[in-house]
Amino acid sequence: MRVDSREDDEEEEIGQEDAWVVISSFFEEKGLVRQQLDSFNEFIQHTMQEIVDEMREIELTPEHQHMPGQDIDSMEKKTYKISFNQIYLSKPMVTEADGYTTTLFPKEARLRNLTYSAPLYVDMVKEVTTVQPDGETTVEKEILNKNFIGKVPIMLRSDYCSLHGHTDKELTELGECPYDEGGYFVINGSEKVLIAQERMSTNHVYVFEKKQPSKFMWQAECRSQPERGSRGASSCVMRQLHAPGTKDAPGPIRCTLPYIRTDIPIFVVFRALGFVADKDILEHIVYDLADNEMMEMLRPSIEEAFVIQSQEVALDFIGKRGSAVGVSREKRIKYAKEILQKELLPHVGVREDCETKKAYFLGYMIHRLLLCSLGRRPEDDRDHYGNKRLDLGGPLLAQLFRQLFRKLTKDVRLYCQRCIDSGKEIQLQLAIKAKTITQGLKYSLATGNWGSQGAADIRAGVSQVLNRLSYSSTLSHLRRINSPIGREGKLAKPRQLHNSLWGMICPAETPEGQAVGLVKNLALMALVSVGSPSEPILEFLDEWTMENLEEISPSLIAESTKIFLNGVWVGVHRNPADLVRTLRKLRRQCDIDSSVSVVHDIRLKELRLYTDYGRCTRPLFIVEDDQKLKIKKQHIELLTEKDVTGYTWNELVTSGFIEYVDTEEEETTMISMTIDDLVAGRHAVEQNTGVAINYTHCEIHPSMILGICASIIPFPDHNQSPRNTYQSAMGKQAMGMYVTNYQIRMDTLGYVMFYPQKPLVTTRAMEYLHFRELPAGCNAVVAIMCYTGYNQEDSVLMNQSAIDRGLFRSLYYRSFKDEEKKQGSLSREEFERPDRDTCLGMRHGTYDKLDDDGLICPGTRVSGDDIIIGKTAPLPEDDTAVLSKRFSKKDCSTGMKHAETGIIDQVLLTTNDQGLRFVKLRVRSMRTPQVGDKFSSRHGQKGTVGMTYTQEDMPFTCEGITPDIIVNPHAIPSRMTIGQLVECIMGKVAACMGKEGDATPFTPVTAEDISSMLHKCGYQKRGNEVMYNGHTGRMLDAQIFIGPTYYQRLKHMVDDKIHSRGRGPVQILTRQPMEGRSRDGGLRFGEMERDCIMSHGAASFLKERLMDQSDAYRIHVCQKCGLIAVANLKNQTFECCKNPSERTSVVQVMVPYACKLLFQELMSMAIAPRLITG
Amino acid sequence: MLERLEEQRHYVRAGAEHNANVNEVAYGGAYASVGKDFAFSAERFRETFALTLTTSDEERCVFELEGCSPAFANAFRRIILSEVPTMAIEKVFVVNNTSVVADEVFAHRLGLVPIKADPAMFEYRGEGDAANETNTIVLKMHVRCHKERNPDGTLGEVVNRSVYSNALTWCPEGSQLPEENGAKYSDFKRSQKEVVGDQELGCVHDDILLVKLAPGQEVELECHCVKGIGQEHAKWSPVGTCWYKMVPEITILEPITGADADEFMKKCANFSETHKCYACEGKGDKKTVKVVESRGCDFCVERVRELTGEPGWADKIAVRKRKDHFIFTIETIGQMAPGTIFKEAVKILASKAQNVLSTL
Repeated sequence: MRVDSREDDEEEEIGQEDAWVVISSFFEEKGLVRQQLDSFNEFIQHTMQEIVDEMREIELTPEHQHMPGQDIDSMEKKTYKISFNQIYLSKPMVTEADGYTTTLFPKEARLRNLTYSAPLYVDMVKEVTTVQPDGETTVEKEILNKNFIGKVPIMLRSDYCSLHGHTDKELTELGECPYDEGGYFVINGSEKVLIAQERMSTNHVYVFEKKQPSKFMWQAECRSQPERGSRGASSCVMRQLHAPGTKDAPGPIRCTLPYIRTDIPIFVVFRALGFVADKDILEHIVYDLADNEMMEMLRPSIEEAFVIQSQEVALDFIGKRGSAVGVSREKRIKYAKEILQKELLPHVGVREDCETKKAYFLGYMIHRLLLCSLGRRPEDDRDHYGNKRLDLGGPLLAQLFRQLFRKLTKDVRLYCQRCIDSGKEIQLQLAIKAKTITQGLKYSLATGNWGSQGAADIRAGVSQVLNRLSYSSTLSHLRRINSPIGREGKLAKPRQLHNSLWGMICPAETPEGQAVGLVKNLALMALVSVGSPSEPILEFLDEWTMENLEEISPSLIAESTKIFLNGVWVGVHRNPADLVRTLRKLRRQCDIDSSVSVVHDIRLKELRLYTDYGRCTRPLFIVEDDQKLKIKKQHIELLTEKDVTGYTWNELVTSGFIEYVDTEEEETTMISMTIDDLVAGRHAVEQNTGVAINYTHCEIHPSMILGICASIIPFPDHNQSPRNTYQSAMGKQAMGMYVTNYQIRMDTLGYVMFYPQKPLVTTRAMEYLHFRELPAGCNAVVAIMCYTGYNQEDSVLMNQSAIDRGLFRSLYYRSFKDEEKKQGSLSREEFERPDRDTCLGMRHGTYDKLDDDGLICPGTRVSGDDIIIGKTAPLPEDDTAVLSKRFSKKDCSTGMKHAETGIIDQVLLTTNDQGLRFVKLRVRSMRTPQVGDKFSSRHGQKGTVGMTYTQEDMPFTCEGITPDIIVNPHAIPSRMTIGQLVECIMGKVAACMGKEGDATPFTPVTAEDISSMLHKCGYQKRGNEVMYNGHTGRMLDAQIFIGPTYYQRLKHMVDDKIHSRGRGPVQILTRQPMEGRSRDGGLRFGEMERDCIMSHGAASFLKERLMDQSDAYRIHVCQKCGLIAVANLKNQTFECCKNPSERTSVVQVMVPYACKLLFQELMSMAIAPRLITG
Repeated sequence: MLERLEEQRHYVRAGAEHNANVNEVAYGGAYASVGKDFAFSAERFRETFALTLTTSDEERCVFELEGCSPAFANAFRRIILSEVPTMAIEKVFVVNNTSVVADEVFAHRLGLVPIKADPAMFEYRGEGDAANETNTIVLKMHVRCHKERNPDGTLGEVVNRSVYSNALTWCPEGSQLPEENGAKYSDFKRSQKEVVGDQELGCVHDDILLVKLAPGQEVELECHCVKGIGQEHAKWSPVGTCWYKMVPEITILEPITGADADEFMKKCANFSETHKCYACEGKGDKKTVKVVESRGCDFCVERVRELTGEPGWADKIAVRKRKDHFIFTIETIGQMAPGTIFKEAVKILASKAQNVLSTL
């Protein structure tokens, strides 16, 4: 009996709570930047070697100088072959200026502005074949092992990073934040992220309808790119024309071939491929010849190609339209053949025997086009995420590395050719320019311009400086996706949230404005496939009775299922259901790579298999045929005791409880939203109350559809959706604690709060985002009420006493850097305290705070324009003579920003990779909340402080509670952020019960549940309380909604923005005031302000603003010619119109300097603007 | 006088969503039409005013104020919060701080530490005044975290991992810092012991965590405490908070009988075994609710108030609050007894009144 119950126990189903154990194990194993790390590891471990291998060996023969009397045939013939073999990557290293090499850790790279990169070595073989005139052949083989070919930047926390495999304690000792998950690079000391780039997937056939002005009705296209190799995509497009003279009747179909100027009728293409008979061709297109409708559709195409009835003629037809003009017929035919073989649909094959496959593929494309044209299928969805691929760090680096490695081999070839031509021995070490790869990779990562320097097709912004404002902003940045579609594009479609983004892309987190919907963020559990070879699948298919295209008769296709592997039609199968079942089974056992996707499209009779990289996948529970989850309670128990059992996420995948499903496969699954749905469905069938739903999968938890930033929002399912988007953007500006090692980092900007708090109301996902450990906000007591009127228009009242006690206080760190740059080969800049006697161009700030070494002492208070790093550059000898003898140096010091103050926190003096002295200096200042600072709740409700009141002026409850923040009730109704209200009452419950409140979205908790809990604590159900006015002491009419709400302090603070100017610096060119606060600029009196004043008729005021207060300038104008006269005010002589007989009369005119400038510019263009003065 | 007017004058009706009659009528002639004169008179005030102490200990006291307007109670509240002076650390001279806590953060923490000193013995320190024994208390702190050396030379336990407020020690002779630019940091004419008598100055609490150190880290600093008021900075406020509430009164307007009585008991009374604010008399239809404790308790007042919002209940029962009867609570932060603070507040209010009189 006991044994029985035990067995029952083991078979017990899991509940929603158990799903969180699974989720925890996922994040424990994968972390939050897994896509980056996986992608980079794949690049290092496989792709790099593949790129080296695909490079053909360098073959060289000497070009002999012609020597009179020497017979070339009588000389020995030498051929050189150089090949690259195995590559080796070491750990990240740094080579100091003195040649000393050590292992590099990221902390040092960041602090000393080094690049965190590892040297790459390659084995090379040089083979010299000498053929003596007598035919004797000798082969000399020289193996050169481990040649240094460049340095590859290493992604932090990847397998090749020095931090890999360290424990948290060791990481702390190495100066790293244990919560930092890596996934970025350190280039010249700055942290760079590679943003995933979205693109359309290749080798996919898309059919689109063409809208009216177009000549075509329908278009089927396929961008073909082979799985391996460097070839760019070659696209093949089929277009269905309008029937001549009509607007809606279908006409012939033509095909665009690469390098062929005009579109070729499809039947000509088929004939060129060797399929001549009409029936042959039709069988490849229509499959079912009884389908009269479709046959009829092809009639115009058949007729169009009527005149070309042999392969030769067809090839000549194509060849004639090629790029080469005026060549012989044979050459044309050869050219056309070559194009068909090499350029047309290269992903199907580029060998000679691929004609059948290509014909089938072309036929398939036309078939798909016809299906749409006949209205049997809708056009394809360009925005479906299954049709998208993501290029992450790995593929991006691979693209770059391929270019650079090719350049390197080209240089090697050039060098060697020069060597052997001049008869010198080849020195391979000298031939390799390691700088090519080192600098090339560094350039792209540092600037974000992807592609070699100066190339045409560069993409900008691929690599970005990692955002370190708050921890969640860092994480979110590492999971960002960019779609490189023009921002100006008016098209709304690509920006819209698509159904297929469910679970892959966060529905809330996207920027506002021009990039809305184009910049996306990965959902929490989404991963990106790194790609696996397709050969094992192909072998498997061959064994499982797939019929190859070459071997079947076309008539078979109609009744069997077409199998596509990565977009290549590889064969057909007569029993696809079995095959799919087996494939899935093997995948769940991990006999086939678990990232392979199996898409069985029953309606189209297609089985599509994908092994390529860049697909978005996400894990799902597998539901068995009995409508129960395959995972059972016992496995959850194994997971919870993983310290003993060693049972992890990986085991869940390999045991087939969970599988990764990509966007395209998701379309063929039936996913239940919750485990309860599954149970309910089963019960409905058992009790005959509902229809059986055959679920195949179950969501692990629906809240996992959100991304990093949206996961921080409590009750996002109670908010209006744009509010969640706003919060997702604002959470990135919240201060708190961005890393734990901020004190040993020298970030250019850093905000750290004195007392950040973990939120009272949390979501389950926050646990994985370490939001409790690195929070960004405070649990403020927030009342929603009108009080004194200083919180109108999204401003808030804040409790000054709470601020005094430390609420939202923060530190602001700013770092400066400088180095002793080399000037020429001899002189060098020097850190020192500049002296006014010897130094030229000293600034007006104080140099007194500097020590003799030119650096400022930590703990010194500094304010605007103080010099904090003193540096001088020697003046060239010859210049000094001109500028009086006393100056020998020029001042190059660094000053504070003129509006900032602070205390020197830390000074770091070190050397950089060139051995130059290098200084980094950090200034710290305290920021107390004050009127004008910006705050926000976690629901997109931002506001600035309108007034601060001390405790006695604040309203109080019967328990003596005074609110920390008072927001205006008008902020709520139109914005519908109910989540904030629910958060508030849950916060109150949590505070009363001393527990954290769970605000995870899509859970069964209702506002009513929370209300009744609050009521039990002795409070009004909805969180309202009777309050007393702090000024008068009377009870307030209204009862006030009050409770703890998590508030964020945003980085925008008045102290950084406050600005006014009376007089100040002007621009050199126009003498108008400078622009911008940092230059103490003026405030622009713009066009609209001008219009306003004009409409008032305030002419004098207008003139004062636009001229007198700006760039008034006095010129002297000759009354005779109307041009600017030469005035010598000292002698009171005025000259113009060089004619001594006539006394010129010159008048003085005030004009804006910009006007004078314009006149002079006009004059330089031979236009005389004459001023007619009265 | 009309009963309704009387109620309006004396009570706030706390409804389910709204508090009615929160205003108070200051004008004595407001009720002249019904022949009443409620103008303020010192005699009547003396007659009706009462102060009853409910509970009191060193840090917290609750008392009731009766027969005064909310303006009066509020004046005390405001003065206690912001105008009763105390001593608090105002200047921190950091000699050495190698801890992870920045100087500003540390200084801010120190400022909030309650200082045990009678503010009456000290003077305010004006701008530019030198620190002397009558306006400044000097506290110093020098803590180094290190591993203890055992007698056998091995390293033992880490000491001073956490620094508590007891690390701050009083320097009655003034600043111990060396002179800088020929000036001392304090100008004590005599020992402060002579000023304060046999009192030992320092922190009120010994166990306030100030900073955590790692071995090798050290903090050396000197703090100067001055006298100030809560209006300028909350650290000078003698109380954590201080507030009053009006006394609730649960009144049965119409007898609650039968099913209503059951409903009332179910919703407002029987949520816990020990709850004894209401009782029932009689049986069946004659069952009637009696209010045992007219003030109710923390849990039942809210329930009754909620009930008044439900249809049919508004005329039967009401939660009313007397406008001239307050339960006043003072929660100190330790340096002064709540009673002393209140007395101080009364003095300040009196001097303010005096000030008004003298300038009139």
